[in-house]
Amino acid sequence: MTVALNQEEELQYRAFEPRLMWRLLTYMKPYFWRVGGALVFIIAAAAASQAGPRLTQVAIDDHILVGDLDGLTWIVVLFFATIGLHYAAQYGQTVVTEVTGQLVMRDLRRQIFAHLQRLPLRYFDRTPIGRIMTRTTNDVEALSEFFTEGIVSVFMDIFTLIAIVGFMLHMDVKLTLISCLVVPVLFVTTFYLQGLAMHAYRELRMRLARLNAFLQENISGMEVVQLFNRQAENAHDFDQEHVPYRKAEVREIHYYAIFFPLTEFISTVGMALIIWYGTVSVLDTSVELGVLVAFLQYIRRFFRPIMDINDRYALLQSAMAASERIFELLDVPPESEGGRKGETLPIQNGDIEFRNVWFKYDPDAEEFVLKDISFRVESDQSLALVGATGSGKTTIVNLLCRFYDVHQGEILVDGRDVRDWNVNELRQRISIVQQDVFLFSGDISGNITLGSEVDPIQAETAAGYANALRFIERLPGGMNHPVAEGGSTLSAGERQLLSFARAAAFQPEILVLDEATSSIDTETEQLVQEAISRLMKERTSIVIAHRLSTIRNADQILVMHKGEIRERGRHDDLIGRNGIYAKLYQMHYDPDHKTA
Amino acid sequence: MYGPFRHYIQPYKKHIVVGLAAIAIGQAAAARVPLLLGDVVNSIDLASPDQTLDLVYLMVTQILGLALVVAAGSYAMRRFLGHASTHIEYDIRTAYFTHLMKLPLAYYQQHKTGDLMARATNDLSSVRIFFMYGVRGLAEITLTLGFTITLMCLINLRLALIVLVPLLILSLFVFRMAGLVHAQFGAIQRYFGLMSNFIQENLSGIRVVKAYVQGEAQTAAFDKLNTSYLDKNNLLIQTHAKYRPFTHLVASIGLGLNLWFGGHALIAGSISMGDFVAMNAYLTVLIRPIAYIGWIVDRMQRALVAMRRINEVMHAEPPVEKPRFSAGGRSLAGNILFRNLEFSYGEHRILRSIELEIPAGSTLGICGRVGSGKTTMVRLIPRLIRSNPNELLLDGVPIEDWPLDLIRSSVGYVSQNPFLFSNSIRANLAYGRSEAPEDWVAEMATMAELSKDVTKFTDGFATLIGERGVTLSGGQKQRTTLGRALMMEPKILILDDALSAVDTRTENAILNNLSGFLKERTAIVVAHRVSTLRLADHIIVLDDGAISERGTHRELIAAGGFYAELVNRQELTAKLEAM
Repeated sequence: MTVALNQEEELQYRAFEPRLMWRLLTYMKPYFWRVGGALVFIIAAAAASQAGPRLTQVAIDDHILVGDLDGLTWIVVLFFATIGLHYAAQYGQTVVTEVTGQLVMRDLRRQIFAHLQRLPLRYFDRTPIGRIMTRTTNDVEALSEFFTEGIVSVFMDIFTLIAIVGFMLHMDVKLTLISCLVVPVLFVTTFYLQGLAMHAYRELRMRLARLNAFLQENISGMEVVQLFNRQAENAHDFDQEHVPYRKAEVREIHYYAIFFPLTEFISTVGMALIIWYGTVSVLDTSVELGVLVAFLQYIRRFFRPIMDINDRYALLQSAMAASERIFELLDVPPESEGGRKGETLPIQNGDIEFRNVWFKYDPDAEEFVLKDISFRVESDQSLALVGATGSGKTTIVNLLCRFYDVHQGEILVDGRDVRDWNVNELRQRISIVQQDVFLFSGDISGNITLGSEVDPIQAETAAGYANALRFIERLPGGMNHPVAEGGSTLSAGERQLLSFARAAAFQPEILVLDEATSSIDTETEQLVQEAISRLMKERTSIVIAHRLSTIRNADQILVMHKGEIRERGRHDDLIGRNGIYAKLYQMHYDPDHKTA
Repeated sequence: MYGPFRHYIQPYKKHIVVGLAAIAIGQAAAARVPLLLGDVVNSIDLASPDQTLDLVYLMVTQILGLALVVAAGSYAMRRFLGHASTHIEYDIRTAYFTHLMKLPLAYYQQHKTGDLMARATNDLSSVRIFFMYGVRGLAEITLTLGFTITLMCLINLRLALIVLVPLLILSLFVFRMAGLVHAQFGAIQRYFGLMSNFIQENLSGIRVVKAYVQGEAQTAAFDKLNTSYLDKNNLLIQTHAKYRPFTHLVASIGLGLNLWFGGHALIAGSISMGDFVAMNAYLTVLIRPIAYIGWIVDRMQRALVAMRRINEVMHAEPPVEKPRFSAGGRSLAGNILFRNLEFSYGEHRILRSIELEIPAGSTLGICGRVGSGKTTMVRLIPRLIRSNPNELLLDGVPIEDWPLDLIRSSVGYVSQNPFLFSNSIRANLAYGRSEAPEDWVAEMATMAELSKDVTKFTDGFATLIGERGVTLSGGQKQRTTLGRALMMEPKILILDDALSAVDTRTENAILNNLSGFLKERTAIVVAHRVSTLRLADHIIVLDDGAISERGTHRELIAAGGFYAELVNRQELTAKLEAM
C-alpha cells in the first residue's frame, strides 16, 4: 500500500480564467434580484461607514468653533443615524450575500450529486471514492468562501474607496491629491512584497503536504520501519523535508515582517504630508481646521482596501482551481439512457437472449472477458451460471443490466436490444441480488423499499415472501430497527434474506441472483434455500449459483470457463459427461473430496 | 497555561523575551502618535503662522521618528517571535515523529493512523497558530488597551470615562455572541458530516442504486440533507450578521459620544481641540483589540487542548528492552525453538502448546486454515509481537535476551500485505541497506524475479511507485517486498503467504532462485498453495492454534489428513485450469 500524496498536492491555485469565471457566475443567475439587493446594501454600508469623519468636520467648522449647540445636536443625531444605517446595511448585506452564497452552494452540490447518479459504472471503477468526495465537499467549500466573502469584499473595497475619495474631494481637492501621493508607492510595495509572501506561503503549503504524506506513510508502514531498523535513517530523511519547510515558514514571516511595518510607515508618511500641507492650508485659511481633522481620520482608512487587494486575488485563484475540478466532474458524460424516456412498454414475461456477445472491461486489454457468448432463457425459466472465479459469470449479469455495453454481438430482453431500452425502464424490470449485500444506513423497511414509493405493507409482504419476516420481528423495533452502514449488526444470512426481500418488493419480471458464498448457520440456510426457490418461481431468473440445490433445480446450467460457455445442460447430463462440471462438482460438493 | 508547553518553549525563551520587548517598545511609541496629532492641532495659531509651521515641522519629524521606531519594533517582533514559533513547531513535530518510531507495534493497533495524523496536523497547527499570532496578539492587546486607556484618562478623565464605559460594556456582548457562533458552528459541522456520509455511502452502494433505479430517490433524499445544511448555515449567518458589524458599531458609538460630550466641552472651553482630536484617534486605535479578544481567547483554549492531545502520545512509554547480550558484531546462526509456547490476545487463545525446533539451515513449511494462527506464530520470531519469556529461543537463548536490532537485522520477514513507500523501486529494495551497490540491488531483484518488470519501466530502478509514479500489480508489490528482505541477507527468512498474488510460473522461478540462497539460512514458508511448500524439509499443519500434523511432504500425504486433502484439491484445480 502506498500513500496518496496526490490529494493534498493537487493544484490549490490557478490563474484567472474568464471562461471558468463566466461559468461560475451563471450559478448566480437565479438569484439576480438578491445580487441586486446585496449591491444596494453594499453601497449604503460603504457610504454610511465613511460619513463619520465628514460629519465631524462639519461639527467642528460650522458648529463647535462658532459655539452653535443646537447645530451640534443635529450633527450628533445625524452621526448616530449613520451608525444605525451602517449597522443595518451591514446586517442586510451580510445576510443577503451569505445566504445567496449558500444557495448557490446548495444548487451546486445538488447538481453534482444528481450528476453522479447518472454517471456510468465505468467511471466509478476508475475513480477512487475519496477523490469524488473531495470534489463534492472540500472543493465546493473552497468555492463557498469565494461566493460568500470573496466577491463581496471586492465590491466592498471598491465602494469604500469611492466613498472615501468622494467625501475627501467634497471637502478639499488639493488635500485629496496630496493623500493620493503615496498610493502608487503603497500599491507597488503591496504588490511586490505580498506577491513574494504568497509565493513563500504556497511553497510552505506544498512542503507541509509532503511532510504530512511522509509522516502518514511512515505511521501506516511502522512495521516495515521497525523491521528494517530504519528509525535513525528515517528521522534523518524526515528532517530533509522538515528543514526546508521551516525555512519556507521563516521566509514567509520575513516578507511579512518587512511588508507590514513598511506599509505602516508609508501610510504614516502619507499622514505627515497631510499634516504639513494641511497646516499650511489652515494657516492661509484656504482650508478649515475641521477639514484637516477629517483628513487625518480618512487617510488611515484610505490605505486598508489597497493593501487587501492581494488577499482577494489569492481567494480568486483558489476558487479557479476548485471550480475547474468541479466542472471537470460535471463534464464527464452521463451514461446514455437509450430508448425514449417515459415510454412504457407492455409487460411481457422477460425472456432473455445473448447473441454472440464479446466483451472486455479495458478496451486496450488483449484478452476478452466474454468470448462469443450465446444463450437463451425463455420466460419463467431459470438459468444457473457455474464456473470458477474469473470465468465471466458476473460480467454476464453486468451486461444484462447494461452497466456496460457489449463490444460485439447483442443482448435482447423481451426481443428488444438492451441498448434500445430506456435504461431505467430496463432496470426496473430486473431485480438484482448481489453477493456482497450492500445495506444503507437507515432502518429495515428503508433497506427493502430503498426509499421509493413502495408502501410499508408491501414491504412487509415482501419480507414475508423472502422468509425475512421471522428475524425482522425478533429485532427491537421490527421493520423500524436501525441499520448501520454495511449492516454490521446483522449476520451474513440475515443480510441475504433482507436483500431477497428487497428484490421481491420490486416485483420484477427478471431476477438476477449472485449467490453469496459466505457460510451461514443451518437454520438460516434452510430459510435461504426456500426463499430462493420461491423467488425463482414464475419469473425469468439468472443465478450465479453456489448451492447445489439451486443448481439442481435450474432449467438450464451454463458452465463458464475462461470467458466461454464450455458445457450446457441439466445436472444429471453434465455429471455424466465427466467434463469441467464434473470436476467442479467433485471439488465442491463430492463428500469424498470435500475440504472446508 | 504554560504547563504543557514548557518543555518546548525553554530553548527559545530569549527570542520570546526579545520579541515581547519589541512589542512593548513599538506599542509605547505608537501610543504617543495621537497625542502628537492633538499637539499639532493645538499649536495652530493663525496669528503667528511662522512659529506654528516651525512647531508643526518639529512634530511631524517626531511622528516620523516614532513611526520608524514602531516599524523597527514590529519587524523585530515578527522576526524573533517568528523564529521561536517556527522552531517550536519544528521541535514538536520532530519529537513526535522520533517518539512514534520508538513505540511498539501494539500501540498502532490501538491508535489508528488517522488519529495519530490528526494530532500531527490539526493539533500541531492549532499550537503553531497560537505561537505565531496568539502570543503576539495577547501582548499587543494588553499593551494597547493599557497604554490607550491610561493616556485617554490622562487627557481628560471625565470624557474618557464617558466614551469608554459603554464601549467596555458593549464588548461583553461580543463575548456572548462568540459563544453563540461556536454552538451554531458545531451544528453545521454535524450536518456537514451527515452530508459527507450520505455521499460516501451512496457512492459505495452505487451498483445497488443503479440496479434498482434509485438515482432520483437518492437525489431527493440528499437534497433534504443539503437543505438542512443550508438552513443551519443560514442560522449562523443571522448570528454572524448581527455580530460582525458589532465591533464597528461599538467603536462608532464611542466616536459619537466623543463628538457630543467632547463638542460640548469644546464649546464650554474645558478641553482643547487637540485633546478632542487625540481622543478621536485613540478611539479608532481601540477597535482592533476589542475585535480580537474573543479570537485570541478561543485560539488559546484550542492550543491548550491540542498540546495536551499531542502530549498524550508523547507520554506513551516505549517498552523497556533488557537484553542480556550486546549486538557487538554478532550474528545469529538461525536455530529456532518453540518451547511449549502459548499465546493469547486477551481472552482469545491463538497458539496452544507449540513445541517445535527449526534447525539452523533448514526450511519449514506451514499451512492451515484461515485463522489457525500461522501468521501469529511467525510474527513472534522478528518480535513484531512479544512472546512470553523463555518460550521462544533463538540459538538456544530466550529471544528477549537478544538486543532487538540484532533480531531485526537477522530476520527477514515478508508479510502477506506488501507495504511499499512512495519512492523509487531502488529505494524500496534497498530500504534496509541504503548504501548497497547498484549490482547488488540488481542481483536481488533478479532473484525475486522483478528485474524483467523493472526493465519495462522507462526509468528502470529509478521509477517512482505510488500515486506519483507507476502503480504496481499485487504480484509486483509482493516481489518487491521479497527483494527488499533478500537485500538484508537475513539468517532467517520468513515468507508469510508472501507469494499469494504471484502466478505459479513466476513462483516456480522464484523458488528455484531461492534454493541456493537458502542453503545456509533458516527459512519458514507459510502458504496456501502446495506448490509454494515444495522447498520445505519439514511441514507442519496448524489447526486452531495447535500443530495437528507434522512431517515431510511424503509422510503427510501418506497420513491422509488436511495436507493430503489440500494436495488433492489443488491437483484438481490444476487439471481444470489446463482444460
